[in-house]
Amino acid sequence: MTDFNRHPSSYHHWQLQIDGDIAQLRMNVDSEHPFKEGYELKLNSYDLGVDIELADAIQRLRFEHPEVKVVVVGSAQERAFCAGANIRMLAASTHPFKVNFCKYTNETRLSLEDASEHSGLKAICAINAACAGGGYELALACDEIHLVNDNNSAVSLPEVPLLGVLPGTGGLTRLVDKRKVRRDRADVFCTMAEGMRGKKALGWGLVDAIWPKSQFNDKVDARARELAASLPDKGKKGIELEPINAQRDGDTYTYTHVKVEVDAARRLATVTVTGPTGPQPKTGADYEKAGSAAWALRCFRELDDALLQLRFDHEQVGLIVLQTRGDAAAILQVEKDLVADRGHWLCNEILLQMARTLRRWDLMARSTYALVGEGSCAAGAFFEMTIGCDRVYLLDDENVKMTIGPLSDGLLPMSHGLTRLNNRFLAMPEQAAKLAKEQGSYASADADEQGLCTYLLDPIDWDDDVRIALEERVSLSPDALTGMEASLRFGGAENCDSKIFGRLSAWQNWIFTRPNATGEEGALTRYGAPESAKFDWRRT
Amino acid sequence: MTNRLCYVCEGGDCTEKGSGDIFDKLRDLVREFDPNEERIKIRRYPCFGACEQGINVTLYPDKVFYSKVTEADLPEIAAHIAGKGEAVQRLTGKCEPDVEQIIWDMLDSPY
Amino acid sequence: MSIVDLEAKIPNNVGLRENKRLMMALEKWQPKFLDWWANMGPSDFNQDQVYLRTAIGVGQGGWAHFDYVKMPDYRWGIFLADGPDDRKIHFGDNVGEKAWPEVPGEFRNRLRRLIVTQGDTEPASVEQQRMLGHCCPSLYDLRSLFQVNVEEGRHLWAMVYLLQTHFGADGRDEAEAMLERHSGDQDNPRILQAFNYPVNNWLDFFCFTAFMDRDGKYQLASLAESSFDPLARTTQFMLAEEAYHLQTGENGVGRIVKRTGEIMAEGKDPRTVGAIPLDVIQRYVNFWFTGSMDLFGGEDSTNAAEAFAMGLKGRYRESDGIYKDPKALNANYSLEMPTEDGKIEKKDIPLRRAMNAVLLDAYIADCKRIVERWNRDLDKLGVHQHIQLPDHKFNRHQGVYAGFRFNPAGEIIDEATWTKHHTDWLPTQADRDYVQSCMVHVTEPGKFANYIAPPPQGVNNQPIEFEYVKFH
Repeated sequence: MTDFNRHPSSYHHWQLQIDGDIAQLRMNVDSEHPFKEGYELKLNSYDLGVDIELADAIQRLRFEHPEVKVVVVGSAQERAFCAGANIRMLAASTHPFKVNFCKYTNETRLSLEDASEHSGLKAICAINAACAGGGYELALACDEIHLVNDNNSAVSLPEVPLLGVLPGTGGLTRLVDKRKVRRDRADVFCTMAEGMRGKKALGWGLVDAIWPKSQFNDKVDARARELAASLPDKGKKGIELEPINAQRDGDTYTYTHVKVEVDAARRLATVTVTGPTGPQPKTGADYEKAGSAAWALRCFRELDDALLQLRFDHEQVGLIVLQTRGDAAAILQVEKDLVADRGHWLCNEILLQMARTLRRWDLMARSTYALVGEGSCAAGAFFEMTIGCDRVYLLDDENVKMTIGPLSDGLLPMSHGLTRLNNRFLAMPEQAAKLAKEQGSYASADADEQGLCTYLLDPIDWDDDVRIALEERVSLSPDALTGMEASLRFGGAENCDSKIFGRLSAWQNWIFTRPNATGEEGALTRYGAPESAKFDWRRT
Repeated sequence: MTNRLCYVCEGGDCTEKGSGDIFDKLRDLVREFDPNEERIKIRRYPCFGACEQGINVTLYPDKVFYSKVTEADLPEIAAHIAGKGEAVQRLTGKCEPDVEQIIWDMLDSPY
Repeated sequence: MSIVDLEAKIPNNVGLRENKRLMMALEKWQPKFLDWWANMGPSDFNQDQVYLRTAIGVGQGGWAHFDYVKMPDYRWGIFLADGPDDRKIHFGDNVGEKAWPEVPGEFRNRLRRLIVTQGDTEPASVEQQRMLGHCCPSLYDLRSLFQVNVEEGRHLWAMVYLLQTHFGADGRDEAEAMLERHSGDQDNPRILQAFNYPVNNWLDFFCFTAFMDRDGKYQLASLAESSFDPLARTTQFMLAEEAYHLQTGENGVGRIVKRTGEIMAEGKDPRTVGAIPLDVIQRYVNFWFTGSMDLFGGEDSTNAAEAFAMGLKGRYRESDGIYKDPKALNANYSLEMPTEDGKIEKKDIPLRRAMNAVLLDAYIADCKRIVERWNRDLDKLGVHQHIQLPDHKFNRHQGVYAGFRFNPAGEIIDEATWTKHHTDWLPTQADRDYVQSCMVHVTEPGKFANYIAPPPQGVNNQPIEFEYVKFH
C-alpha cells in the first residue's frame, strides 16, 4: 500500500513558507530520498515521492491557507530550478508505472490550474536556474513564468531529442494551447535539447518575464505582491486536512466512507462508496468548524486515495465495479447546502475537490462498470460516478433508483468541460438539459427510459448476467481496452485538459513501449549508457 | 617489429632549446624507415616536466627517456626507433625516475 | 602546409579572403572585440609597447615571432593546425568513418555548447586578471601576463571563428554573447563558476595559470581529438600556446616557492621580508587545484559518455592510440564513492561514463609532476618542508565528492572537524590580506619583488634585465 499522506513538517523535497497572502513553495529535492531505491534525485529532478509532496502542498494551500492568494513556485537550489522527471527512475520503471506516474503528475499540475481558475490562488513560477522537461511543464501549469536572465539559465523540453519520448506532463499541449506559442516555433523549441534563454525565450512567448539575476528575487516578490493585491480576499483561517488512512486487510481497503475489495484472481476490484450518516454541516461556517471530517470532504479524499492505490498497487486489475450505498436524500441535502453557500471559500473548495476526484475517476485506465442493484444509492455525486462508468447495469426493481442532484448541471465537469449528462446525450442535448433541470429521482424502469443505464436486468438474470459481463470484459486485451475507453468516454470537443490526457494515453503510451524508446537500443534505455541509441527509421 | 610511439617535448624550455627543429628532423629521418607512419608515430608532447634536461624525447613501449638531445644524436635515435639500432645509452638515465614514471603511467593506461 | 595571409585585416590560414560571408561576419565582430579589450582587457596598458610573441604561421617557428607591439595592435588571427585531408574518426561509436569537415546536424547544439563553454573561459580569464598589471613583481612578469592575456584573446577568436563559420545565426549570437558576459558580473556572469572568482594578486595569477589553465589544456586536448575536424585542428593549435601559459604558472609558483625557500635557508622568517610563507602558498595551491578539478564535470557523467560516444570529446591523447579500445565499451572504471555512513567504497561504472574522471586522472598526474618540481627546488636549498598536492576528493563542489567533507589527505571527516580545520587548509582573509601586502609594484628592468625569484633565463634569449615593457 502506498502512503499518499504527506505533511509540510516532514517534506523531504519542498519548502512551504507562508507570508501573509503569499506562499513560497520552493523545490529542494533531497537526492538521497528517492521514492524507490536505485537512483539519485540530482539537480531537483523528481519522482513520484516529490510529486506527492507537491500535490499535498497545493491541497494544503487550498484548504489550510485560504488567506494565500499567490503561490510563488521556485527552487531552493542555486544550480537548478528543476531538471524534470528523473530519467534513471523512468528508465528503470515498468511501463504501467511510468504512465501512471505521468498521469498523477498531470493531475497535480491540473490542480494548480484549477486553483487558479476557481479558487483565486494564482501561481507565479520563478525560474532561478536551469529548467528542463518536467520542470518547464510545471512552469507551464503556473499563471506566469519569470525566468532569470543570466545568459545561462534556459527553459527546455529535451524529451524528443534526448530521450526519444514526449514531454509527459502536458508540455506540448500547453505550449500551443495555453501559451499559444506559434506551432513552428514550438517545433523548434521541442527539438532543441538545450532550450532557450533570456530574450529569445521571452520573445517566443515561452516565459512571461525575464529579470537580471541581481534583481530576480525582488522583481518576482514585487510582482507577487502586486498580483495578490489585485485579488479578492477569500477566507482568513483554513481547516486542517487530517491524513487519510485505510485499514488494509489482505486485498481489502476499508476507509470511513469508501471500501475497496480487490479480487486479484479475477482481476476485479469493487469500489463501494457510502453516503453521509448523521448530521452534516450546512453552511461554510459550519464546515470550517467541522474540518476535514465532514462527509463531503472526507468521502472524496478517501475515494481519491483509493483510486491511487488501485492505479499504483494493483496494475493487473482490469475492471472496477462501482457500488453506491447510503441515503439519497442525505446526499442531496449536503449538495444543496454546499451549492447554497458556494460563495463561501470552503464550500467552493469542497465542491472543487469533489469535481477533481470524479475526473480522476473518469481517467482510470481501467474498465468501470456500475452495478446499481439492491441497496444502491446512485444519487447526486454518486449518480455522476455511476454514469461516468463505461457501462451501467441496473436492476429492474421499483425500489432501485437513480437520483440526479444539483451538482449534475455543471459543478462537476469532466476533463473536457462537459457535464456527464451532456457527454452522455451528445445526440440529445435537450434530454441532458431536461434531466439536469428536473433533478429527478427515477425508479429503474423509468431510469432506463431516460437513457441512464446500459442494461436493465431482471432480478432473475442479475447474478448470471453480471458475472458473465465481468468475466467477458476482463478477458479482452488490456491495451485495446485502455485505448477504446479513452476514446469513447470523452465525446464532443476537446480542451487543453482532455488533450493532455488523450495524448498521454495514446501517443506517450505508444512511444513508451516502442523499441525506439525502451528497446535495448532505445533512446530512453540508452540515455546515460555508454552507447548511443539506434532507431528503427520507419515512420508509422 | 613492434609499433612505437615517440614523443618530442614541446614544453616551454624544450621549445626554446629548439625542440621544434628536432621534431621535424626526427620525423623526416624516421620516415625513411616507415614512410606512412604505419608502425611508428612521432608526436609532440606538451612538457614532460624534465625541463632542465631538455630537449627530451621518449619512446614507448620501450620506455626509453632520452634527455639533452641535440641534432647530432638524431640519426642514432631514429635508427633505434626504427628497430635498426640499439638504445643510445649516453642520453638515457639523466632524468629523475619519478618524472619519467608519470609519462609511462599515462601510456600504460589500463583503459 | 596551408598559406598564411598576414596582410589581411584578420590574419589567418583559413582562406578568409575567399569566404566573403565569413569575412563580413568576422569584420563586424572585430570592433566589438576591440571595444571589449579596451574596456575589459588589461587596465591602463594599451598604449605601452610590450615585447610579445605573435603567431604568424602554424608551422615550426611560425608562432614564435617576437616584437614590440601595443596590445590593441596585436594580430589576433585565426589559425588552424595543419592536418591530413582524410582524417578518420578514431574513437566512439563512429570509429573508422571519415572525420566531419562540417557540423553534423544531430550534434550541432551539443557541439555549439561545448565550443561556447570553452570559448567563454578565454575572455573570462582576461577579465579576471585585468588589474594585475598595477602590482606586477617585474617587467618580465608583466610581459608574461600580457602574453597570456593576448593569447587568451586569440583563443576567443579561434572559438568565435568556429561559431561564425559553422553555426549560422545562432553562432553569431553566441559570438556576441561572449563579449557581453563578464567575469564576476552578478547579472551576466561567465558560464563556469571558477571563472567568476577574483584573481587579485600574483600568487592567485600563477596558481590560476598553473592549475586552471592546465584544466584548459586537458579540455582542449580532449576537443583536439574531436571528430569535428575544424574543432580538432583549431584546438590543436591553441594547445601549443596554452603550453606556454602553463609554463608561466608552473614557473611563477615555482619561483615564489624558491624565493621563500631561499629566505628560509637563510634562517629568516619570510613574513619579515615581504615573502610568502609556504603554508600560505599551500593554502592557495589547495584552493586553486581543487577549484580546477571542479571544471572537469562529474566523475560519473552521462553527458561525458554521450560526448565520447558521439565522437565529440576524446580521451587525452586518444589519437596516439594509447588506449586499449577506441570504443571504450566493455570496460569499467573503478571510482571511489563516498557512502552515507562515512566510508569510501570502490564502485565500477561503465568506462564511457567515467570519461571526465579519466581526463581528471591525467590532469592530476600532471599536477603531481609540477608540485614535485617545486619541491625539488626546496630540497636543493635544504628546505625539507614541502608543498603537497591535496587529495582529489578534498574541497570539491562538483562531482561525486561534492557535499561530503574530506581533509586534504582524502579522509572523510565530519562537519565539526571541517569547521575547526578548514582555515588550516584554505586561504583565510588574513592570508589574502598578507599576500596583498606583498604585492609591491616593480617596473625597473631586471628587478624583482622580494617574494619571487628571478627566472633562470629571459624570454627569446633576451637577458633578464631586458626592457620587456616600454611604458609610453
